[in-house]
Amino acid sequence: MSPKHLEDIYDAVIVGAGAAGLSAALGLLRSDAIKEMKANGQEPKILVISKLQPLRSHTGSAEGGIAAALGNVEHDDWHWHYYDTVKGGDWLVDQDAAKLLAEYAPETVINLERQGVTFSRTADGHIAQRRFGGHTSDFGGKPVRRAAYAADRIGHQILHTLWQQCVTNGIEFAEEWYVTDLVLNEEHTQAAGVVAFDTHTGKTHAVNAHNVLFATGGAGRLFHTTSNSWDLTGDGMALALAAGLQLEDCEFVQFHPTGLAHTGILLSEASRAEGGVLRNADGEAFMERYAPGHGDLAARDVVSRSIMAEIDAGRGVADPKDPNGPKDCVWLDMTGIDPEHMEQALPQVTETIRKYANIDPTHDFVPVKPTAHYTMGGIPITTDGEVYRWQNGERHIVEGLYAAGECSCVSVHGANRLGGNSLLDACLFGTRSGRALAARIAALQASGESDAVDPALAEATEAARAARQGELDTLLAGNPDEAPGSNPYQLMADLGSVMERAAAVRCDAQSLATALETIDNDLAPRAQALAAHDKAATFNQEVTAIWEVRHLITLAQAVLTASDARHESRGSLKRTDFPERDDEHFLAHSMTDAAHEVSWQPVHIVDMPPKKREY
Amino acid sequence: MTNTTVTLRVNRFAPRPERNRDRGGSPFARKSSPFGSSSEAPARRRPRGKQWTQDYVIEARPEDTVLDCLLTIKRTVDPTLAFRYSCGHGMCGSDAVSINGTPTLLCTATVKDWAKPANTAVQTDDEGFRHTEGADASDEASSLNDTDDANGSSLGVIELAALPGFPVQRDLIADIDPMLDQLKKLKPALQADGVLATTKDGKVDVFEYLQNPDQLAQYERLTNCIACGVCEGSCPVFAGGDAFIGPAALIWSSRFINDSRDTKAAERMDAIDTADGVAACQSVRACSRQCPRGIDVGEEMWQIVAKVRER
Repeated sequence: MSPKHLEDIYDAVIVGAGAAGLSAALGLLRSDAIKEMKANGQEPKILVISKLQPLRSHTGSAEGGIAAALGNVEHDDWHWHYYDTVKGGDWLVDQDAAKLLAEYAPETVINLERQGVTFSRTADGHIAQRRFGGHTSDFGGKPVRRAAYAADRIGHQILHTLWQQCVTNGIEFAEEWYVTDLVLNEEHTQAAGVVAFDTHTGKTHAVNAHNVLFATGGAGRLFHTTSNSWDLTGDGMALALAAGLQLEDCEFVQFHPTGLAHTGILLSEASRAEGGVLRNADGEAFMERYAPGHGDLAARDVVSRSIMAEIDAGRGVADPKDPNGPKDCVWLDMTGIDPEHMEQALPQVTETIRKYANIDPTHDFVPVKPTAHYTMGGIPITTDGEVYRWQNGERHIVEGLYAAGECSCVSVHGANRLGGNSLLDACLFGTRSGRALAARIAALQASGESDAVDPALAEATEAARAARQGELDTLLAGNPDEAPGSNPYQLMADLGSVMERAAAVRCDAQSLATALETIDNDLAPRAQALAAHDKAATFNQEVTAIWEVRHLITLAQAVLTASDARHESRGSLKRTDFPERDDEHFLAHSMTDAAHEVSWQPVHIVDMPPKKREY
Repeated sequence: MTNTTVTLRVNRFAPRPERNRDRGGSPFARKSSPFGSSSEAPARRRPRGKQWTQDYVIEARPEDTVLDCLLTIKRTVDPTLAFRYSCGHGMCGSDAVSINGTPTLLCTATVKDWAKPANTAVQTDDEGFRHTEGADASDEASSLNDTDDANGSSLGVIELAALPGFPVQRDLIADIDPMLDQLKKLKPALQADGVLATTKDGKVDVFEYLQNPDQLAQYERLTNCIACGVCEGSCPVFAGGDAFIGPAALIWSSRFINDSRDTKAAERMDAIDTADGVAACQSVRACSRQCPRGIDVGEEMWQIVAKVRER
C-alpha cells in the first residue's frame, strides 16, 4: 500500500514497521498530547515507511519470549531483572536505561496483552512465563520464570497485534518503499526528512518531516551464517553513518551457538536443555572441557566461543549438505533424547531439522554452527529515543531525529543481550520514543508552525532526492557486463564470507586488518561498479540489492574499525590478542563514525559497580 | 559439488511502463467484490505487459528448497528475476507463489517434493487452469527433453508462477493488497475495555485480561495465520474472481469472534453474514491443503459459517 498523495511536510515519518516502529506509532497516537490535539480537530500527519509489508517484519520470527518481572508463576522483582540485564551485558550497560527497561517491563507486557496478543496462559488465566538463560531471582541466584511467551511464536503474536492496532487506528503506511537517505541540516543538528524509493513505481520521493524515527532493525546479513531474514541489511545504521552520525558499540554482535549449519536457522536452546550434546569431529562432548559444571548449557557467548575454538583446532565437521565445503560446523547429538519426548518437547526444532537439513535427529547427528543473531550496538539514543552525537565529551541531540529497536543503542544490552530483552527493548523504548515525538508535535502545533516548511531543509531533502535519482539513472543506464561478475547478490555473499572469517565470534588485530583491506580494495570498488541488468525501475529488486550491499559494506567497515579499537574481550566480543576484560581503559561505549574516528563515552554506572561476570 | 540439476520453468512478467491515461472509470462498471481493491484500481485488473516463460537449469540437491534454487539463480545466473522472500523459514509469509499450479511457499517447498519429470510437468494456462492430458497448448516443453538424458542427472522440472487470484506485478510478485484490504475492513483488532496499564512507584495499576487455557484453545490456532495468501489462491471461488471476502479474512474474523476477551462478536458476525461473506464459501476445502501454518482452513470456515447461521 502506498499513500494516495505525499504531504508537503509530515509531523512524523517512522521508518520501519516491526515491533519498534509500530510501537512508536501507537505510543505517539495514544499520548495525551495527541489525544488533545485530535479533540481540537487537528490530525497529526504521520507516515510509516517500510521496505517490507509490515507483517513480513523480522519481529515475527522471534520465538522464545519477552522478559518482565510479572511474577505470575513464582515470585519475581524487577530489581532482579535490572541486575541480570546489567550483568548479562558484562557491565557495558547504561544502568539508567536498564532500570527503565526492568521497571516498565510489566506495564509493557500487560499492555501488549490488553491490545490483543495471544499469550500462553497459566491455569488461572494469567500470562504464562518460562525460564530463560541469565534471568535469575535474588540478584544472580536461582533461575526464575520471567519470559512471557506464546508457545514458540511470541514475535509473530506481537507483530500481528501491533499491526492490527495500527491499521484499525488509521495509521498510514508506505509499504515496499526503501529509504535511501536520511537528510539532516548542514550542521547535522536537525532532521529534515528522508528520501524514499517506491519499489513499485520506481520513483524517488523527497519526504519532508519535522520528526524522523528510525526503527529499521538489525544487520545479521553482515555475516554468511545468520538467523536474520534476508532483509536485515543494516540500512538504518548505514544511513546514519552516511548522514554524518556515529554508531555506538557496533562491535558487539551476538552469535547464537546453535544455528542449523549453513542455513543459520535457529535451533532453540531447549534442544540442549532437553539433553542434546555438542560433539566435535572426534565425537568428543567438548563443552565439559570449556565450561566444567555447566557443559552444554553454559552462557550463549561461552558456547559459541567453544564451538569456534574446536573448529579452529581442526576438529570441526562439514555441513553434510556441502560435504566438500569448509569444516565449520560441529555436531549436535540429540540421539540420547527419547524419540517420543523429542516430538513432544521440541516440535519446532525437530520440524526445522527434518525440513531444512533432511536429517532425522533421533538417529543422526545434526550439524550446527554459531549464527549471527543480534546487534547490541546501533544509532545512539537517549532514554526518550532522541538520537545524539557524542562530541567533546557531551551528548548533542539531533533535533527531531529519533531511533528505536535493534537499529538503535540505548545501551540496555551492553556487550551481550539476554534472551527476552530484545522484544522488550523494541516495544518499551519504541513506545517511549513515540510519546517523546508526540510532545514535540503538540508543541509545534501549539506554536502554529506545523504546516510551515523550512525552505533550507526542504531544499536539502530535494537535493538529496535529485542526487539519488541521478544515481538511480546511472545504475539503470550502466552496463553491468563492463564489470565482470557484477552481481549484488554474489557480492553480499562474498562480504558475508569475509566477515565470517574475520569477526564471527572471535577476532584479532590481524583478522580485522585483513578483512578491512579486502573490503577497501576489493568489495567496496566492486560495489561502486555495480549496475542493474534490467533497465526498468519498477519492481527492480536488483536496484534495492545494490543499495543494500553498499549499506552492508559501510556498516562492515564501522564494525571492523570499532572491533579493532577495543583492546579487550567483553561479552560477545572476543579478541584473542586481548583475552581479558579491561575496565580501566574500556568501561566505555565506542562511538564510531563514517570517517572511522572512534571516540569513547563513559558507561552510566548508577547502582551497580562492575563485577566479574560468571555463570 | 552436487551432480544433480533441476529446471525451473518460470512464468515471467514485465509490466509495461505506466502511461498517464486515466479513463475515469464507469459508475456502472461491475466490481467483482465490494471488499475488493480500492476505488482507483479496478478490482482484479489484468496488468498489461510482456509475458514469457523462461527455463533455468541449475545445480540443486533434492533437499534444497525452491527458494534456495531461486536465490542461486539471482546470484549466479539472472539477477533480474523478481520474487518476494524474507525470513526463509515459513514465518514471514512473503513468498507465496504457484508451484506446479498449486499455491504454496517457496521456502517450505523442496525440490524432491515438487520436481517432476520434464515431459509430465503440469502446465497451466494464463488463466491459471491446468489442462488435462492431451490438452497441452504449449510446445516449449519439448526443448527441455535433453536435460534428462545423457548425464541422467536432472531431478526434473518445477513450474513457477505468481500466486493465483491476484494481479501479477512482476515475475512471481503478485499484488496482495486486495487481501490485506479485506482483512482491514473487518476491524481486525481486539475490542475490549481499551484501558492500558501505567506504572506508579514500580507497580502497575491494571492487570492483563484473564483467559484460561480452555478459552485460549478456542481460537489460538487461528492466530497462527501469517496472511501469506495461499488459502486465497487455492480457493476456486476467490481466485476465480467471484465476490468473496476470502478465507483469510474469515479466519481473522473468527479469531476475534472466538476470543473470550473480545466484546464485539455479534457485530463481527453481522459483518460477515453477507452474500460475499460466509454465504460465498462453497465448502470446497481446497484452502486447507497447503496452509503453511497447518490451519485446517476449510474446517474452520465450516465452524464459523455454522456459528453465524445458528445465531
